[in-house]
Amino acid sequence: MLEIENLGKIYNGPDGVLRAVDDVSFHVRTGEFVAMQGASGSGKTTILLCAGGLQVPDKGGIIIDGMAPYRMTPDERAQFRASTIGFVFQQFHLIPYLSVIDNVLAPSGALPDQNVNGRAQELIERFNLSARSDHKPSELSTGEQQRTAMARALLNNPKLLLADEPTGNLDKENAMIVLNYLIEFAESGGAVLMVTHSEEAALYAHRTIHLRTGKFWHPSDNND
Amino acid sequence: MTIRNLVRKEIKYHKLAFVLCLISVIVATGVFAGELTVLKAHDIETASILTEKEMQTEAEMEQMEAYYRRIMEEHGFNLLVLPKGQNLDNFYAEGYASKFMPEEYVDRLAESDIPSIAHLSPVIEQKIRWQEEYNRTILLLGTRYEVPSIERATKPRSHVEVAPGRIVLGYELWDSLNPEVGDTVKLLGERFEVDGHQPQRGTKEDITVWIDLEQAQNLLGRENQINAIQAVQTYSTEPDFSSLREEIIRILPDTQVVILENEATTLLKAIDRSKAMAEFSLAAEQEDRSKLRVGMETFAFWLIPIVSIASMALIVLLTLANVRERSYEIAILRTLGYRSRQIWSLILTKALLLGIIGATLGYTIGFLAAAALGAGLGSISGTITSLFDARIFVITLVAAPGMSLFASLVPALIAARRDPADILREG
Repeated sequence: MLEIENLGKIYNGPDGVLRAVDDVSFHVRTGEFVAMQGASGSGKTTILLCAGGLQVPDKGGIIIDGMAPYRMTPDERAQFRASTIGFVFQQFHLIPYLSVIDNVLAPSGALPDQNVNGRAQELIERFNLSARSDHKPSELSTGEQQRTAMARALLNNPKLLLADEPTGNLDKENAMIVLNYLIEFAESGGAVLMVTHSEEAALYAHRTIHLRTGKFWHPSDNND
Repeated sequence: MTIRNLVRKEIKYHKLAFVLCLISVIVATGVFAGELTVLKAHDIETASILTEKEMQTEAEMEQMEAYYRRIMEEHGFNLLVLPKGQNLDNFYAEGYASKFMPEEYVDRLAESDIPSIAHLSPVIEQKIRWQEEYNRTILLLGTRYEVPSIERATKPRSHVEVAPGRIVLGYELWDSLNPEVGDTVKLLGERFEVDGHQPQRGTKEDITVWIDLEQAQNLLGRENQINAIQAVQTYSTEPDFSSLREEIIRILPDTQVVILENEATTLLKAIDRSKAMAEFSLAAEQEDRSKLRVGMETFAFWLIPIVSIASMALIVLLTLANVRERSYEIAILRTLGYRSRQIWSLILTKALLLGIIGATLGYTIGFLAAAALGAGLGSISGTITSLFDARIFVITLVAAPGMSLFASLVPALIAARRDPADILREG
């Protein structure tokens, strides 16, 4: 589903050139839930943004569901992202002036021809948000906010789910709900790439990739 | 979820910022519409004042003309056409002309159709001895009356009409002879039936006898000859005695024209002066109104751009603040697959809505305020609908959204070009 080959990304900062990602290659297959761990600044989020078609890599290639998003025009890439990829963030990034149901429906604006009202209701029920459907994000608990963000990510039936610390702000119970759904999503034919600091969350994944200063490493390697 | 829904819900959520922007558009459009409506009210008021003044002047002129016509009837002829060779010293000393000219001159003058003269009356006048009546010195005046073909004023009362074979006596002669109407008197061997007498005038006319022109010519041996043509200069909006004199002499080259000053000619000059004064007063009023308008235009010329620029600056600042505040929301929308033109739409649709609502409210408030101000000053004579100008309304309705869109361009550009990856990485 997701093929990353020799990915490289450089940032020009005040301290000079920073190699955020350096020649990283890996695949996430359909039905697979992959966790990506590493310290802050190890390049996890950069890889996630590149995989999501949001950050143009300086080197290497990315193939998602057989398509190369960075060979598309920005508008085509936006359409592709809307139809193929779902995002979940640690900060939820819900739109503050929209209710739960409207937040879940927000991705439909990018694919206006689809009738997704039924799908939105289904997701609201699936994530146990029916009673909070008309509430604004500020009126929700953090668990409810993350479940709303999950429902939003799934509205357009994506094939790939990219999650950046999805359990970072959740209690254990809500974290378990989210992680279980990620497993369920992968096992139902999707693919999940999750960035996390949590060892516990990483245990839910089929496998874990470790990053240090933009490169793969294995915890058993004794480089430190 | 359409862009329209997103805009509607965002406006509802950020009410205060939207209301502040709306107020700035309302103020700008209100000032624009108000200023132009005040100018229109001023124009209507100016037209009304000037029309009223013109009508008043016209009415006064008509009154004076009517008065002039009455005076003209009282005082009669004020133009005298004499033979060119007539010595005016002798004429004034004797009270009649001693030279003669052809009678056909009066026909020529009548046919010439000079518009400002009327009541042509050819006369022959001679001082004679009335041998049959104590050999007294009298003035014999033969006359007939001729009105040119065009319609003119009524005949002067001073004109004496006398039929052939009849005689009219001056007051002094009548008083001393004391004849009855219908009595017969002899003059230069001819018999005349007394037709009446003239009232006492205290002039040479008190010793004048009037008979038919042709009979007088025969008695004096001056067939087809006259020695004066009496006429009246009718009322003219631009009385010009010298032009009239030249015109008569052009038609009758062997003549001279004497203008007889009387109350009518004095009045004619007074009318002329009054008219000039009225025209001056009207021009002065026009100039005053024009100066006032220039002052108002200058004020509007500076006020409208200043308020518009201030309004646009406020919209730019508030929209920039709004875009900055919504940077995560915009980044998320981009992440969810919204294209950059949809982000543009998100900002510009709001700006358009702001402009349309602001223009409608601003125009209404500005118009009503200007109308109320005009009514308060008593400057609006017609109804409020006369102040409505569809062009101003359309310009406001186009300019305000245009201004709002223009002010939102930079914030929209920033929102659409901001890299969502940068924002998400910051988060």
